[in-house]
Amino acid sequence: MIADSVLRVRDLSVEIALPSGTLHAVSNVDLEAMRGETLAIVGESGCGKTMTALAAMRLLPRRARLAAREISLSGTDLRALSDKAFSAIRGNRMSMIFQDPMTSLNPVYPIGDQLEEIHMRHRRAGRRRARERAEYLLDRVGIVNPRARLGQFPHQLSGGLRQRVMIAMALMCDPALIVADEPTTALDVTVQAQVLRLLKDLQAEFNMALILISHDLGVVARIADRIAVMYAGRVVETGSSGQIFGAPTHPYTRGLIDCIPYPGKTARRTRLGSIPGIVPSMIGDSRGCMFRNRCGWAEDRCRTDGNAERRIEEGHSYRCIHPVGHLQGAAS
Amino acid sequence: MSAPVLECDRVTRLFRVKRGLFETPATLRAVDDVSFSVQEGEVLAIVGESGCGKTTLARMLLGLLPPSGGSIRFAGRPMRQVGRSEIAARVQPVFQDPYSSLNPRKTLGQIVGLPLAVHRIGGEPERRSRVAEILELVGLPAHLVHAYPNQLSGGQRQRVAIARALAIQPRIVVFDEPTSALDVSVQAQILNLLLELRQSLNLTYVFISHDLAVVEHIADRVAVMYLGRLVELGGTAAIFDSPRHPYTETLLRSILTPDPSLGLPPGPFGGDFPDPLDPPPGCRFHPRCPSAMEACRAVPPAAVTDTAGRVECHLYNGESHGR
Amino acid sequence: MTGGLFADEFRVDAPTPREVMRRRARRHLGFLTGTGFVLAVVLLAVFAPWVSPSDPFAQNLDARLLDPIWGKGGSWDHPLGTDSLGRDYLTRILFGARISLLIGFGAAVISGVVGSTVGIVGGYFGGRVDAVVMYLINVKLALPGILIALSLVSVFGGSLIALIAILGFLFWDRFAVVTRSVTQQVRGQEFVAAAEAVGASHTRIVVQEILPNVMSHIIVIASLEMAIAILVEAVLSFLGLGIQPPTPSWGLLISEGRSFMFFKPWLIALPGLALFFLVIAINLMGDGIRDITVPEGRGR
Repeated sequence: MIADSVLRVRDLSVEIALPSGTLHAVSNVDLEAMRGETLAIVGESGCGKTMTALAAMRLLPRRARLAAREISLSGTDLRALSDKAFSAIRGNRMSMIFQDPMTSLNPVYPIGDQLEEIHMRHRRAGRRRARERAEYLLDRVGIVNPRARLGQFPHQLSGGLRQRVMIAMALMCDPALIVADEPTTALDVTVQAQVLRLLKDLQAEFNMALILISHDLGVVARIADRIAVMYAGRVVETGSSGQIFGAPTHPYTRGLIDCIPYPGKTARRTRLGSIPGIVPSMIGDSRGCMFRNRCGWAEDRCRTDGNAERRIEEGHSYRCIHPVGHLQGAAS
Repeated sequence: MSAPVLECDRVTRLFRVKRGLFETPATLRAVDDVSFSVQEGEVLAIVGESGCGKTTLARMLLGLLPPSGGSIRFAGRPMRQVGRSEIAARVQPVFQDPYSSLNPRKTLGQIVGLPLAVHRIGGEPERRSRVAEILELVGLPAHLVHAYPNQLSGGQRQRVAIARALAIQPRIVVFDEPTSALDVSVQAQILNLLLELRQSLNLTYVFISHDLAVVEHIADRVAVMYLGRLVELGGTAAIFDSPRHPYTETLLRSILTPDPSLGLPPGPFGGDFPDPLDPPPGCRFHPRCPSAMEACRAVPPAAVTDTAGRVECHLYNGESHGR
Repeated sequence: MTGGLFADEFRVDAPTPREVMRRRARRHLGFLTGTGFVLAVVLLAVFAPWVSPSDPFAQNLDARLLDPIWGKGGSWDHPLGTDSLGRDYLTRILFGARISLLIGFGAAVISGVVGSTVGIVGGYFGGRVDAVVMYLINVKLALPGILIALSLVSVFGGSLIALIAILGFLFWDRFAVVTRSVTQQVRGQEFVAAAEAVGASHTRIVVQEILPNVMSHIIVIASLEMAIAILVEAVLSFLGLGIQPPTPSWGLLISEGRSFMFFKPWLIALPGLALFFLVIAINLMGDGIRDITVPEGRGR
């Protein structure tokens, strides 16, 4: 088990000091990404899913404060590394793919240069080796005529192609971990399916750990092995893809799944399930269950209690004193 | 059946696009020969990927952009004969981005009251009570009239945009991706609101979206666009249960329902979107089409209209007379 | 109704745009200092007839070139000394502030109105209108401003009104350039399309939807243009082409003090310092306004 663990995060909290108080962006998050496995972090905007990833990549905004009991990559304690040592790992052992490929690529350099630069920096290999690698990977990510594409500039590529280039870039140094933050959100639906398929295939081929951050339950259901559902800075439920969608236990997970129209299952033109209210302010007091003000089962205890982790079965746990679904009534 | 509330008859919109400094400007056929009609009280969805012309079409339906060819008719009257403010009174938009669709310097009262002011409806006190009424209608408390957009969440802002659209009681509302900038749980709230409003106010919706699951849920009929062409039009059940155009099939296959047992859909998706400035000859979909034939590469398919709807594909050209 | 049950959902905690600006202003040291200084100068200028110790034109040939209070033989009768005609220098400087502020303000208003109109019209309507606007701006940018000001002043003379008008029409280009590009951005926002779809007239859209979003930029440039106009007036007056004696203008005071530069340096230093601090203060204020009115990030 331990040998296969690539990224391990324990008790991660990120706080941001704002003039109006402390924003608890991420609170006590545990995550583990395994080799050859896709871990999806799912949640709505502001739930802390991106902050969690940025914290692991040490890319947090400067005024954010981080605390964690463990952040390790394949056994190396990342917290102990200097910024310089860390940047030797970032883009090398672990790399990140962002939502908007246009802003992640430098518009004034040909994509070939940008791909090669990463390889030359981390591998200290010559330009020829780097170019071979770039060409190989462009071909692998499904770009036709890669040699010609190397000389092109980002604006000459379509959104789908750019995201493929980003994926190739992330793979340049054969990383153990790829973190993809909403990699297909900016893409068209048909392109989205292609890019996801590509990510999944490459993950198997290169035997990497993939952390996929998404708000799209459809994407997550189809690609993830394990899922962490985040709400207001906390992981409220984790489990395998089958456990989360087959037996959602936290009221938020359940509500979220009921919210999405499901062709063939939800009746057309009927009310969808919905979660009333809006996400609470994460500034100031963050005790108790953050979902309580939108939860149909909330009671007084949820104000203070309700964040303890409870285990249903191997790999499936949640933080709630009123689980729904097959456990309803059986808890506490 | 009464006259359709809205008709498009061979509507075309061209744009001249400058490419380089010394190149001759190219012509972009953003919307190309599109015909459809919308019946009173129905929800017609227009789906397609970015660059398919759906937003340009929406702007023409709103009277914000004149068609280069063809005509748009409201209840039988050509749009050209309908005055600017009468168009506004009939059809109102709700846009995609709830952050850019509300003026950050104005209060909600001013924003929702703008249509009333422009159309000189009622006096100041009357307008104020009307604004409060509409805000309640979309699920916002009246005390928010003094709030500014930056004080609201995305979903609340989108409710304000809906309130503004409904202020002068239009018959038709054109939604351009109304939920794609919203979170899932908020999207459900807004979709429920739209369904309620349609019922209680007997509204007609033109619903533009790229999210097929949402479209399936809300639409009565679906029009599928590809590179400016309307390639298929039919009832929601027909489109989703037995799509005819290969592009519609491709789109449907790429819907990701939250079912972990299904895994990722099998390819192929036929590569990337072609350059809209230089569309393929013949059927515009043929380079990506799994069932492309010789004819598809050379001859643009004619539209086939039958009881099930309308489709533009050579696969159905032969049997058109049989139906 | 969805969500209606939950009271705190609609509690508006976030501050209004105006409150945000007020908060930022209170914490912005540069803005506070700049505005404070400018306000003080404005007050002194407005109340100059009451604040100043004597008449700005009253000559006293017996008391010529007296030293200021800190100098040899300085007295409280003339805290900043007297000039070569025995006029009280403090009074002259205070009245000079009136001229500087009037010219700065007047020129900024005229150039602001002209430039913003041109820029907003070009940015809003686009197409051929914009092409004309761009042509005008380019022509203006190609003209050597100071030289034209010099020649116009020498033709029309240096009355206050003429100076304000000439400076106003000379410096509109920066307003036009900035408002044009900001208008283009605002025009692309969906709320403008929504107003169009409602049937709002162009005038209403420009005045109610666009202008409030361009206003903060206009104010920032206006403050910078004001500083420039004040400096240019001083230059013109110094060269003898601006305000004509005996009207006190800072540029003129410096020019008059020039002949005594080596033995009565304060005659140049005092109006020079006044000019320096006023221009710095106005620039601080302008920078402050820009920081304060920067739009907030999306959401909360």
